[in-house]
Amino acid sequence: MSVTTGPHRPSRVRVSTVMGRVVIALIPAVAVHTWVFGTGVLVQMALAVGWAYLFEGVMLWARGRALGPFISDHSAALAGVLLALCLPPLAPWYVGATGMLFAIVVAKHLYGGLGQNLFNPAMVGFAVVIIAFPESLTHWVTPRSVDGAVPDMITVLRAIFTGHLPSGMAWDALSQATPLDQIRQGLAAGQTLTEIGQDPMFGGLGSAGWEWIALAYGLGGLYLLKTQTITWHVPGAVVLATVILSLPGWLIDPDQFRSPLQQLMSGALVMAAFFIATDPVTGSATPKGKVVFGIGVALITLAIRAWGGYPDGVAFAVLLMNLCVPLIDAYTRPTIFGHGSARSASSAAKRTERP
Amino acid sequence: MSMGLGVVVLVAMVAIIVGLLAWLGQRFQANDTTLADEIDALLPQTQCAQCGYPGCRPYAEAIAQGEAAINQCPPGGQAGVDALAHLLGVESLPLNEDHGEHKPPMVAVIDEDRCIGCTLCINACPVDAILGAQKQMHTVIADECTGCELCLAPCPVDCIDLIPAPRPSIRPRPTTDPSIPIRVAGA
Amino acid sequence: MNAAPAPFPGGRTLAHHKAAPLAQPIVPAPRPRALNLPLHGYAGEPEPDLEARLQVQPGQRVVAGELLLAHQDDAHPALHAPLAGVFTGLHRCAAPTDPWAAAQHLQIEVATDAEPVQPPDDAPADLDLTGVSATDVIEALKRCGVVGLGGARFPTAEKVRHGQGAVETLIINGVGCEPYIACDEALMYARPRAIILGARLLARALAARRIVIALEDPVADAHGSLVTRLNDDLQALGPVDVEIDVVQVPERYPQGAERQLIQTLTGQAIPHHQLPQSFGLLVSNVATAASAFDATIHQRPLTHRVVTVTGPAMAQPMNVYAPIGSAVADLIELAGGRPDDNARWVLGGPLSGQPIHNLAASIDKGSLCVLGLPEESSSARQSPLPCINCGFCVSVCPAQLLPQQLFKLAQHGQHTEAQALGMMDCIECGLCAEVCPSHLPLVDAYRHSKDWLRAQQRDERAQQRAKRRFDARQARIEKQQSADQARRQARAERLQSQAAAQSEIEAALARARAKKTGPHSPTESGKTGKTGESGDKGNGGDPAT
Ligand code: SF4
Ligand code: SF4
Ligand code: SF4
Ligand code: SF4
Repeated sequence: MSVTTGPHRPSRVRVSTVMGRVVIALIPAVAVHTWVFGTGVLVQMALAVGWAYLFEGVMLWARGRALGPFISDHSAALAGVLLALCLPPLAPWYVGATGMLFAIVVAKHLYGGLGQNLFNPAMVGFAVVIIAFPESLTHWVTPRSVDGAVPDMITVLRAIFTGHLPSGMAWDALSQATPLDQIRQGLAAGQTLTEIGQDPMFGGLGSAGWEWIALAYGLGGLYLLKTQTITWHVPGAVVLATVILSLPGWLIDPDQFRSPLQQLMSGALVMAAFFIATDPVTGSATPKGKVVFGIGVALITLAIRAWGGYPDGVAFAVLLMNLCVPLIDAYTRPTIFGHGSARSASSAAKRTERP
Repeated sequence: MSMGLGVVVLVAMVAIIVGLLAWLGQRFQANDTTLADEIDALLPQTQCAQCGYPGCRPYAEAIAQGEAAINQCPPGGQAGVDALAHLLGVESLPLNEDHGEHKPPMVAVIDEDRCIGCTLCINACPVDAILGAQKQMHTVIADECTGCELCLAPCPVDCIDLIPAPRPSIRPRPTTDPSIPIRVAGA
Repeated sequence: MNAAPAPFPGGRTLAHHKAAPLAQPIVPAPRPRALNLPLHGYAGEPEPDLEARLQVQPGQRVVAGELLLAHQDDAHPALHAPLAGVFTGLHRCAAPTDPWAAAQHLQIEVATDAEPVQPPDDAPADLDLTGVSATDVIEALKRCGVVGLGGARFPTAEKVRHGQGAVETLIINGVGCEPYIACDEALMYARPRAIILGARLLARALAARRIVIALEDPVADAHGSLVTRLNDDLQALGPVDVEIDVVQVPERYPQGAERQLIQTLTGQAIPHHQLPQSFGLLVSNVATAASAFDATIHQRPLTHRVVTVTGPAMAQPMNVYAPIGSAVADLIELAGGRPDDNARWVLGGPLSGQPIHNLAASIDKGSLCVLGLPEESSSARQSPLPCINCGFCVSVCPAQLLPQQLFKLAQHGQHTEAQALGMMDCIECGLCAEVCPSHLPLVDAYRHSKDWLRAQQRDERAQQRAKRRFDARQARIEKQQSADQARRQARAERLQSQAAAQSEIEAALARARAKKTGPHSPTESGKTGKTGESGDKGNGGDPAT
């Protein structure tokens, strides 16, 4: 007779189920992303996921871990998908490879592998490439909704694997700065937001193309909330804090300060709210801590957008908040049942009275 | 001018930090327990005198005075030595086997048929764990006995034995090695 | 009062799996060959003073219901022979769930002609309880060895005695919130009037004013509503001196845990260091109430209990009326399970139950359920992964702990730190392990940690006692030494003057003479006692040593 310890009847939900749900929730965003920026997104994604599994396998082997249970948890794939979604669709292949190297090998496995990492792997990877290849990261494809076309497959493959465009094409014709970049440069040049906002790249909700991607992320996020894969705390805190923090400035001077809607709809804020800052491993464990974490991410992102050297600050915001998690957790422990302030004995007895 | 301001700010900051540290230091100062008390609290209170002192308290005082090494208490074992080293902020030492070996907790039992009621063990017991009067059968109060063995030698008829003290069982820590399903021994 | 005012935090609604065992009435267990009655007290410590409390000799014939072990104090209730047979003595064998601790068992060789005991009938509708006093109830509870049948096994007589006068509302707990466990529901279907009358007797012993019978009513659709049945029986039993309510609580695990139930019924979270009595409340299980009735009215000792034997590994899940001391394997066979199957056998429910290590081991008064889960539906084949901090466990924990942090600390042996994070507040409900996507053995780690902490606390208490006793002895010896010293000094001073020395010698001589000249008079001995220092010393030294 074999005797095993509990749980006797464990959850049918496995780690791979959780990761799988997140990937499913990303489908709308990936679809919109592809529509807006072309098939480059899918190529980047395939490459990143491939690197992810490769590095994961190598590291598991090097650390003497069981390959089967760990590789099938698909957490590496998720990191690959998330990083690919942050990269410009035409970025050379080595950008994604470097990002995944740092994400999986350094951020994940050197910290002890699944569940042990301090920093969000995808964001570590992104932070590394943004510092290492600042040039490549500015070549964002012009969204379909602005110039009505996206690069074809040949262009995509050539750009990614050789780093050059087919002859007769120029980067300038294909790509443009992101709206966030445009705003930063415009403001630095002394323009007002109203002037900058004349450009068609700002679309209807503050950022052409990007706004639809943000909405698609939101849709996927709702699926995660519905399946109880994430709780409302982090996304709620990020979105609300963004709105509350950007509202006063915008009301006072809409020429200098962006509207809350534009803040949300441009860049990676909604993605971060539902998919990055909700990463359980590197986030806060307590409900209150999650709210603090979300507020922190929004605050730092807005600060970097306003005053920092990079157009979008989501990655750095998440990494900085990762750093604070032990502190946040220590101060936001829930009150243990029966350790709160007690009501008087008589009132307890009264509650059982017939109404 | 601006340099003067910088100096003032710097001095003020240093003053504030020093003040804060001094205040914190005071706040977290240990209350009136002495070092010997703190050492005594870490000793196993077996009172067996194997350390060369007539009980844990005297040994604690000797350590506090710097007269005794921290590795002389066998009942405390290596864990005890480590705890003392941690408290005193010194490098830990291996347990000095000259004073005896570390043994699991024991408890004395008196074979009541053979006991002649000589009261010699009562005199020897450091924690008054033996009940009895002259010419009467003696018994050990198992809950109070520390297993110090001091009553064994004086007994003229060798009727005292040490048996392993009954310990509440501690269910084992489950393993979580992912490559093998969790199983516990003892099936 | 039909809706819950404020639900407890955490928790989860689970499929109840109770319809199958409740489809048939309670089945009496057939005559076993032998019974092994486990002897482990309420707190799991060994029973004290076994020899003195044992009422029978090895080899002696016993009749059904005969007293085997006398009631002692708070934690040690009486134990009776469930069936007629021969008492063969004390045996040390493994407890079902804990191979590391062998427990003492009283063994009874059951007589071949012993009749299996049938589950008792329900109480008649016209029973009159007047004339039964509080003392009668408490004495009956003591005599019949009634203990908490919800699993805790705390002696009911003691619980009632502690709550007397302080308790306004008695809560009768029929909330069998854990999946598969259907023994409480079975009893409520079979003996509603006995439960109501037992509750009234307990309320009388407590001088409580109200009774609240709380239940979930999980199979109302299939087998009829328990709430309706209990209310009908309340009507049938007529007006009474206490107010009685039947309250249906939402199905949510672990609703039946004492503090969680109180939270749901009253909105009050009982502080961790206090008992419900401090808030005028006392919770007792339905089966305990029925036993209180049997004990007080029929003088029937607690020798049997209803055990749910169920799970996918049983061909025919059922509720068994089993004698205490029945072997788990016999119960499994009775329900159509095969003990040699490679199944996961659990004592208790799927969440809070413990794996059974030895199927020959026997049930005690607190055993609710024997569960068989075939390996496919259990976790054996699914290996655990590291914690991913997903927080699923945090959101279900009814104690509002951070299970993932407790787990890490427990696994790293940092039990003291775990204690600071509330390890001892964990009620071992098992929900965190149930929802964990990494399938971590969370509760097993907590059990290890809690055992460690309890042992540590025990050792600390023992150390403190030893220190106190050593200090007291030291003080006594010192005092005596300084007294001796003072005496010696005084004597030395006196001897210094020659005259004193002379008189001393004379006194000694006189004493010797007095002894020789026959029986001494009291006056003389009194005088010599005063003057003769040496004699005094000899007398004083002896008793002190
Ligand atoms: S050796 Fe014995 S007397 Fe000395 S400190 Fe250790 S336990 Fe106490
Ligand atoms: S009974 Fe013996 S072994 Fe126990 S404490 Fe006293 S002297 Fe030591
Ligand atoms: S449910 Fe499991 S994996 Fe998730 S936080 Fe809790 S212990 Fe960790
Ligand atoms: S077993 Fe303990 S930690 Fe886990 S959910 Fe239940 S009370 Fe919380």
